[in-house]
Amino acid sequence: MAHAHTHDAAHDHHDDHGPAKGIGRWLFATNHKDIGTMYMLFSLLMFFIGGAMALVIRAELFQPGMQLVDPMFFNQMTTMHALIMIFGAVMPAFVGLANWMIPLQVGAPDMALPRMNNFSFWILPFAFTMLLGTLFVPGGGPAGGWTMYPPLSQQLGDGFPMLIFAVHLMGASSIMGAINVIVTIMNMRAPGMSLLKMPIFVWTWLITAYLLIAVMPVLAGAVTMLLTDHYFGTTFFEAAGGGDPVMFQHIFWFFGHPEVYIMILPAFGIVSEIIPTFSRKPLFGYDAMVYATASIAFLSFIVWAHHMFTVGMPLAGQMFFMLATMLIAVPTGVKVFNWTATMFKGSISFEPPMLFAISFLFLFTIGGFSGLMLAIVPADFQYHDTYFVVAHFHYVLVPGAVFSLMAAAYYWLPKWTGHMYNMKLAKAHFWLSTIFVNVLFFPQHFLGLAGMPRRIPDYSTQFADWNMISSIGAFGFGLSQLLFAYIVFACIRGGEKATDKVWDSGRPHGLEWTLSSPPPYHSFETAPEVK
Amino acid sequence: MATEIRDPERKRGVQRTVLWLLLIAATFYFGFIAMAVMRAQ
Amino acid sequence: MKIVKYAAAGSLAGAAFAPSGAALAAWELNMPVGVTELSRDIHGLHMLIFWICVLIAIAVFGMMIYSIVKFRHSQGAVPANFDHSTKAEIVWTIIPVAILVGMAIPAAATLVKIEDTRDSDMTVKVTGYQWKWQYEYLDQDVSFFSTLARDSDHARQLDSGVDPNSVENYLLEVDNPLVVPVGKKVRVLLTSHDVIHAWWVPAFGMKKDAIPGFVNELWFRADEPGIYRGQCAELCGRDHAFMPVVVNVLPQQEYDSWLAQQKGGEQAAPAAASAQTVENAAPATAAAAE
Repeated sequence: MAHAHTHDAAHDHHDDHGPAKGIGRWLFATNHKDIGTMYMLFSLLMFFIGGAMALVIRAELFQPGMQLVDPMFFNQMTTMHALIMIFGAVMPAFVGLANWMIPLQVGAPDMALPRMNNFSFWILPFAFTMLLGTLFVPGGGPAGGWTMYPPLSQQLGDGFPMLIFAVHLMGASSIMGAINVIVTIMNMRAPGMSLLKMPIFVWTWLITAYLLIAVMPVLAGAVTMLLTDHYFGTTFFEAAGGGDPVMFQHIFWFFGHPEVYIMILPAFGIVSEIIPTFSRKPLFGYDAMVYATASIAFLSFIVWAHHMFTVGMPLAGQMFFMLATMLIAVPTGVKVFNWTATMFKGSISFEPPMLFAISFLFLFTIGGFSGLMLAIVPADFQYHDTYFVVAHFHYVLVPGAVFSLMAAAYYWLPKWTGHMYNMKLAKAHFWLSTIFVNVLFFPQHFLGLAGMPRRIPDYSTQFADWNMISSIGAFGFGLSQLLFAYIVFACIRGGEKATDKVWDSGRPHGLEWTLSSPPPYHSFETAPEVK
Repeated sequence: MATEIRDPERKRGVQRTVLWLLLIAATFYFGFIAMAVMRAQ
Repeated sequence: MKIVKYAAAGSLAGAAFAPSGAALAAWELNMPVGVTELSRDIHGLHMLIFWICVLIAIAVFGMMIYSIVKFRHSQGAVPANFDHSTKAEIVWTIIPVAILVGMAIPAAATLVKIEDTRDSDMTVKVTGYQWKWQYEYLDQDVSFFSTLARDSDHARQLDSGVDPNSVENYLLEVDNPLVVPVGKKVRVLLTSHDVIHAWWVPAFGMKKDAIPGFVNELWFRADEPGIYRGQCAELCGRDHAFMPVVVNVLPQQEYDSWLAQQKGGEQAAPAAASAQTVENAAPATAAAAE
């Protein structure tokens, strides 16, 4: 990139042409690609930290009896694993993708608010340093579950204000990121790109961003009330003072349910980009896909209480939330059927992104089935807070959200770096991940049905066998991801030159493929015309 | 040349969208706290 | 009624449940059927939905696998160019709605039954503590705490050196189980002294949260005598895994004599005479029972 500076004299704003040198490029980054890269590398780091915590959990659960850690530390691991994976790994990875891809896909030179973009990223390292710092203060890290239910969460020691502040920071970062996404999409599209001509990934992110703006403030409100209950004598959630601990759960899940769609809607977008490319056929039912995404987002606001069927709600409330939850199966089904119809009568090749997308299709659907089972209130009275739930949400989040991220990385990495990665290794990574993720999570369905509660560091001996299998799967899956990190870094450093189109399938058609690989530092200085 | 990035029309559009979004976020934040306060009384 | 039939038809081979309370078979795959009407209804619903999901999975996965195998680029497949079909899209919106309605009707019927706690024969108040349960027999003046059995508690310490397999009912044994008569509708009132817990016995099919400052209720009617085991199902702090629920279901006569003995034990305990509050009386009862 050094050559960029030789042209400085010919232009009035020299910083438009190449990245600044040294650390300043990253600290003061306003370029959507640099910020996107930082988001994704940060999320990769968090993925390994959260993964290490998961391995502590699975190591302790390898056999009955307490062998490795104190139960309190175990609870800290389950809590931190969730917080880090959700807020540190999955969400920033999607925001990173949004940063990289939305300007490229809508034909914009950059995000609409580049300085706020810098701010929203650089909050994250502070937030997570503070969150991880709780592990080293008296009282230890949060151990009451990522859901922070009072009164239990109020028993946390010095880590309590750090946890609350860290959550506030993550929320602020997400809100700023979401504002940037919406503003960019609404104001920066290339001329001719009407809303229903936008790439599907852009659509899913637009809807996701609206969800973020609606619900992250709700989470912030909930933890603010926890904080005032703790230090300022309010009793929002304390029964002794006339408050209601269940109200926290209602508020939390009003955030929490849309949150799970925040983690899966962009995944839908990614898969909807990849499947047509490698099926050599247009996406089936583009309009239906957009409307299905919007309906899922709408429904996500009226199903929150299915996370808390056992708190003792009125019968009518349970009925309503059961029916509303079951209704989500309809638009989700439409999506799965449309992806299948996209592959039907296509001409399918199996590059790594497609492999991960196909795996997503099968395994996310399994997570959808267990979700449907969980919606049935009477059955949920048995499933609730068992490993069946753990299996369910890991099926939608790991082979769902995380696999879509892997697919996205393998799909666009050559575009980002200009290099092809090692296909053989990537395929090996795919097979290892897909096999081990099932060894890891499928037995957890059995454990839950047989009656093993979640969030326990030790269990009775009847659960020993499947736990051992699950732990073996966990270590296999965790170690396989080192391969992913290696493939990504090797690809950044060099490799076979990628073409502008990257994939020789004749598709894809998006604007990002009209640029060079890697794309110029400022993507579309002149907006392209979209017909 | 289509729309320039520093186009004043686009800048107003950006500002308007940002204000609306901030308003939504603030409504949800204070709205939920206000609901909780009312319920506690 | 219909649901019970599904339960019978649908139970997997490995689902046999030992009502004696002995450890379940290892490699357990499915939800046990249980010993109450509610648990059988729930199991029936569970199996109904499970098989519906299996059927849908066969159709959907079958279509995916067919497409992946049949339309391979490497086999020279030529892509079609269609990108929608209104007819197909209407079909696969309406069929799921119909299936969902079919699921919702039996689920709603069972739910109504579950929530009907009227006409109970007796009431037990269950209070969650970090980390034990307290059982109070309303109108009987009997009350005691139920904590993890000593050998389990010893074995579960970090690096205890005790093999959990050598401990009978490891982590699922208590000092004083809840004792109830067989065939009686038992109403359970749930609350908590500190944080939220959840009281769960899988064989009874029911789980509900015990919330400080609030009272929840559930009911069960055990059809067979036996010892039924469960656990706290809501994260409640350090020893969440170590506060099991054990219910001893006795024939009516044995239950009556147990109850009489409990009442007798209370009068005999000298300390209990001066302290009438439940909290103070309970340890004395527990001590008497040992």
